[in-house]
Amino acid sequence: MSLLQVSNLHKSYNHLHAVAGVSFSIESGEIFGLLGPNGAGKSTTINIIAALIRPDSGSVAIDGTACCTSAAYKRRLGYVPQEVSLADKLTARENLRLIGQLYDLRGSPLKERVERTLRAVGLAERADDLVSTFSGGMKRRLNIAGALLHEPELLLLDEPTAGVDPQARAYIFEIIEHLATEGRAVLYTTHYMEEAQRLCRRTAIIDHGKILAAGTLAELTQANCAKRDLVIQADSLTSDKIGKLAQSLGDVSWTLEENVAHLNVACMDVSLVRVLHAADEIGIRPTGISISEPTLETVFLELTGRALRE
Amino acid sequence: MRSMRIILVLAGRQLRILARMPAILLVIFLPGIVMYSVFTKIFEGPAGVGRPFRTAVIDLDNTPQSRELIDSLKKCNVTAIRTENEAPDGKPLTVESATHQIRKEGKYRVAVVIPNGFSEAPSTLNGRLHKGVRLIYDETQPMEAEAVTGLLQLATGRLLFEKTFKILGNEASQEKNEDADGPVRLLDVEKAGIAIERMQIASKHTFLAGVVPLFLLFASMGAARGMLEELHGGGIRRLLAAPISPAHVLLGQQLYAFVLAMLQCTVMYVYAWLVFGVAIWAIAGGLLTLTVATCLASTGFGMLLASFCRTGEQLDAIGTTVILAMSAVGGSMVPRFIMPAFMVKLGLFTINGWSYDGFIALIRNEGFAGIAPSCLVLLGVAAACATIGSLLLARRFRMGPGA
Repeated sequence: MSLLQVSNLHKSYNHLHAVAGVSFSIESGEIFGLLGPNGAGKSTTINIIAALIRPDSGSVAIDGTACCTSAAYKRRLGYVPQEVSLADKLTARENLRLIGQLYDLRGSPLKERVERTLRAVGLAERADDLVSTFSGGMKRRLNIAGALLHEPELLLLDEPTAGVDPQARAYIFEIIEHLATEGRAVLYTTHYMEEAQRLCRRTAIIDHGKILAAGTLAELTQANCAKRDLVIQADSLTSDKIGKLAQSLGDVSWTLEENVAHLNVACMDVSLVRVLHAADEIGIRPTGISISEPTLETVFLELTGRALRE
Repeated sequence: MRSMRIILVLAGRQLRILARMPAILLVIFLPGIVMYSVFTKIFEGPAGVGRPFRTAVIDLDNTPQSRELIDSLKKCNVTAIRTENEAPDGKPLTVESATHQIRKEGKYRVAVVIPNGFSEAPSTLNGRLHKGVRLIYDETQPMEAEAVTGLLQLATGRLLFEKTFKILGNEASQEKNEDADGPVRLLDVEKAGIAIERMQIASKHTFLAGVVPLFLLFASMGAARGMLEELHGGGIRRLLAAPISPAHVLLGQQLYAFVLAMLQCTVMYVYAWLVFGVAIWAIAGGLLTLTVATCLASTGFGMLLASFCRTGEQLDAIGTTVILAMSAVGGSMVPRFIMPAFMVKLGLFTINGWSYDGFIALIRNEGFAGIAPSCLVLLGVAAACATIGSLLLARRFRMGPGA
């Protein structure tokens, strides 16, 4: 059974549809990605789920507990905002203690949770340092720690790696993967495809407030005929020869540039053996050959007609 | 109970952050003290060093002897006012008109009444026939009455000296002097203090009453700016993801601003006591009550601004304009008692005006009854600001960034 159920969310700002009919569900232990460019509606969606914005229509529920303002609902989720929302003049421990107190944690349970959470994000040794002395990556980890303190079942991460270096990003990925293995559901918004591809079991592609497609990477590429690029390098390649090869592979589109040919073999079950055999018959002697695997980027391009960061 | 705990947690967080910024703490307290000192010194009352005393003189005797005393007073740095419009040929002052002037308008603070029959025995040296003079004064200015009493003695002594030793042969007067305890008095002065019904005009009181709300409002604007920055920085969004409401956030921030405001007031009052001798301890209970009400109203106003304004620039523009206008009308820049009647009424639409009036009532020893209207209005303003601010903040979050 799904832990988070989001059904037909709508939210407009002055006739601009920020979210237009978003629906999805997340199971316990699953990392679900919401992938889309800036302004696609990711943050609005996550803010509605976090009970920070009231939707115009639609519903959200965590394991049957309906959104939005009840304390019971809020206690079941942890929210990591896009910004590092910590007090710079307080230490890591003080910041976490404050957040814990807002969830009614007190005394030794609070102390214990703070220590455990600091260890979980690798900041135990810097617990008594002011946040202003932290690196960007450390601040991001502490930002996540603040959402873990009350041990929520659902974690909402709104672009949690924005502006951090690759090493710090990898550390954050490890933390998130560990949380999923503990059985927590994670909703992860990003505009980095490689992050969604690396972390998320399922991903929803969102643009202009609408979910264009959702599923595993395999499901998305299969369903959307994502572009696969067959690249052939050979001496004395001519348009005539490549045209014949393209025709033999199913009349696919192609381009040729200085002895390197690109053939679009989307939605086709093409094996290298078959390509080599056809090339040999036409008289092409490849010096190099490759087929690119479909990615979320290619799926996004297919769905929207533009690159993710345009 | 839980709500109170959450509010305390949020306020405590802000205070802890502030405690780690000592430079800002200094900046918070200094401007108020500097402005209060400067205004108080600039407008120091007419009793300042080197200025003549403006004293009303009602000469009921109207004899050469009484006129001699008045002339002698003039030689002792006293400006004797004898007519209602101060013109030489104006309507002579009476005891009633002089009392009215002291009580209502404060044109002068002391009136000397020379009684009928004064000329029969102009000094104590003339024996039992001496009737002395009567002094009517503003009871909040006893030092000025003392000073005029001294000047009357000096003027009489000067007269006696000028008439040389003619009187010294009078045995009766010698007997009287032998009987007298303490310093020799040449003139009996019967003093009668009257309760004033006008605003206190001592600059140390007026400007303390005015500067305190002015700086509280500006400090509250600082707290409002802090809240706006947290709003834009995502800090408040994070807090609201926890099981708390916008009202908790607003009241937590207001409590922080309130504690800071009370601290500012305490520093100002102690400074006024130490440096200018403002008698804060005699009115401590009322002052505390009025200060709590003023701090709640001003911080509530600040929170309302934070909930209403979208950006820091908007807050600065709106906040500064409104606070300066309220301060000008409410007596923070110009004492309310010198304003025309309609401006005094207009001042009642401001936090400064009510706070000012409450403080003046305290100085006039009107006690809790005197400050009750001010406190009630200020608490009402605080409650209204907090309620509207919470509703605006909640709406802003519910509706999202477009709201």
